[in-house]
Amino acid sequence: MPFRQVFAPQLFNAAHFIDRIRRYLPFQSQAPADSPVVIPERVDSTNAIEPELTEEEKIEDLKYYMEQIFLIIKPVIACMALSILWVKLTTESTPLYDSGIALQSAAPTTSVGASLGFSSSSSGSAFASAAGILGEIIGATLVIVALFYFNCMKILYAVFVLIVTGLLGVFTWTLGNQLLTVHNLAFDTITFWFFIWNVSVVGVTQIFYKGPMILQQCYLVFMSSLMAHSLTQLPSLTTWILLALLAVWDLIAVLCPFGPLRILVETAQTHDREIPAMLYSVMVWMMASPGDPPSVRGQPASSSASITRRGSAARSDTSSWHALQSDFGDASQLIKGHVPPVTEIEMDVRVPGPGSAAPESAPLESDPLNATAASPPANGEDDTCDAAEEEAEEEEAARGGVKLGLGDFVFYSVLVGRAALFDWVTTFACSIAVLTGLNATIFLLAMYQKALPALPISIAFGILFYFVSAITLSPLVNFLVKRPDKVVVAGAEAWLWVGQGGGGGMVYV
Amino acid sequence: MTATAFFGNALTAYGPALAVLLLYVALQAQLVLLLMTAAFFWLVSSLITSLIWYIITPMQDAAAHGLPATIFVGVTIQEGFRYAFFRLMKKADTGLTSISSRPTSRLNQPINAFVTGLGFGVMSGLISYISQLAESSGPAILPCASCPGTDVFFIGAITTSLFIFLHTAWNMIALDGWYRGSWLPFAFCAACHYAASYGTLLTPSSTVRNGCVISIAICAGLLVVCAALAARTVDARLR
Repeated sequence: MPFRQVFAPQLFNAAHFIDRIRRYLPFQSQAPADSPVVIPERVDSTNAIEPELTEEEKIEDLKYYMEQIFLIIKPVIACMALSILWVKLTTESTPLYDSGIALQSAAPTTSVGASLGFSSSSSGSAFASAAGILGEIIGATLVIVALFYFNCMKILYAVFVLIVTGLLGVFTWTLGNQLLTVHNLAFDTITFWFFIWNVSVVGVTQIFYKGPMILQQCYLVFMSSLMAHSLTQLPSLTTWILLALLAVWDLIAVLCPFGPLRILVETAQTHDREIPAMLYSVMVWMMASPGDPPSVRGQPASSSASITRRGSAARSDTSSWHALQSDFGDASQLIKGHVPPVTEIEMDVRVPGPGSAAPESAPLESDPLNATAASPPANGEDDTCDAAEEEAEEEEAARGGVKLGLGDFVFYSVLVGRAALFDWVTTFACSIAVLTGLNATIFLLAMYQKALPALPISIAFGILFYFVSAITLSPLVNFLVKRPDKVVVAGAEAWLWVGQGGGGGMVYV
Repeated sequence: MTATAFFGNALTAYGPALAVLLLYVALQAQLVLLLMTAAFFWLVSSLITSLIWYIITPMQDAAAHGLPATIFVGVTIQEGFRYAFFRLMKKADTGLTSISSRPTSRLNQPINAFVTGLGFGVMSGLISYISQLAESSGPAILPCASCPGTDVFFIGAITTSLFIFLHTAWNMIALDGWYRGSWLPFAFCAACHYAASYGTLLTPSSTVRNGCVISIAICAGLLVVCAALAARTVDARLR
């Protein structure tokens, strides 16, 4: 299949051609001709609804986005705080004697020049390695988008399970090792492996199967802070180049007509498929998408979409994996019927969720009419499980809302972690800058009501504030505190304050 | 004096503000956003101050008149940004009122002023004191020049906690005045800010005896006066 043709923008108009291509694909998912789902015309919600919005509805929307920002900011702050903690814990080594063994951990850079990365003589290789990492990210994004585009959801989830297991296992092991080494602690291997095994297995079941919402979020935050920590180990110049390139790539991917993330969103819209929450929470993904604000939710225009969405969200008290199962239930059943190899993969994936997933998707599959008919079973199920309804509603607020990709979490934290390697003042300046950028992004999200890149504003603010505060603000803050002369003992990372009758004091501006 | 000093100083400096943050501000999304925006504004003002300080090299000379000049520039720019932030808030005023939890309440403007002032204060407290806090976890104390026997970092912690609430009170007074179209309250606040900041010059002074006590007394006295005035602005709204 010619790759270029698929991603050429004009093909979006010729949907039947795509369908024909799809029929020749090995992992053919679903031929729309014999699909049980009739795709309803999706009204472009922004343009259609805008003039009808009354003042009250606007205020409702604004309040909704306020709550959403509030919900999103908490995990972002938690993630930043965790990655600052990892940085501080792994670099806070104060060896008072020279052991003769070079420590692997990045030493805190104390001079501005070093913080800019100019101490390393190889700036060309810094650019190359940054470009390499960016290339990996682009490649991963393309693969995931292609999988979603051709509706290979089972493979997608198998890949995700593998990635999450690997990430949790490897990064926990790395961090644990580093902490033990830096703090010179003894720990036996068996217990250590047992601990890591538990962390990753519980994490995978939490994220992909079922578990309390709060625990899932904790795991995702933990995972992204681990990724951020491993990325702060890069040389600083590489980090800055990487962050800048990522912001540009994010703009391209989300906003350009052929950008992969935009293709993803458009695919989801034209085929009326939900982008599962899992895609945001697991993939290294840099996009913020608007939830469904109250004004959109109540509209009959997008009724089928929002009803199925709400139905699935209400059911998601078990797990987001189930919501997904029901969203893509019809497709997966068809896959099962057609292609044997995928069934195997599906078996693997199904292991965590035996039993309950199949009955849920069965009514959807057996219903030959259309998507709107899929809502009665959803509603009926809502009635049956009254007990869990309140919980479900709470979680719906959290799950159905504004979504922020895991990549955003990671790279915000990388920036803040890099600042934490330098100085506390810079750390706080960067955190506030990044959070303000995030606020601005969500504000724009509320205005434009479409998926937006979440990195550029935050990263631009973050980088600008990092350099300004590293070069000027922290010297100023130091200048405002009078200290006696400091004698630095050579070889040891310790110093003495000396001087007769010497003393200091702080001037507060 | 490692962990003890660290936690003692941290809770002295940020404890009261943290209590207000967690028990009042964090409960409402709108207030959290306002606080963060205000913190961002303070940060921008201090970055501009630091740029000026960095460019004009005579200001970096602590032995000559570097410190008073820095204080003058810093306070002036901060107060300028207070006005800029007021202009922003005034533009968003109808929106801010309508999305608040009680849109009809007469207290919305004072509440917003309180929270933004707290944002100014918290950010200034974080930026000014956090690196000293990190240093204070070291295994010694640094004697204060004007009153030997006390710890520089502990005096700094007290000053920080006072300044956080001074900023809050100033913001409430100044914004109330601006909402009524009067610049007099703002002039009073700016004067107080200069007084408090120049007062802290006594702390590192080696000629004034008990300078740190005087400086803290100035801040505390100003806080009492300004808090009373801020309470009066709220009272006037209720009448």
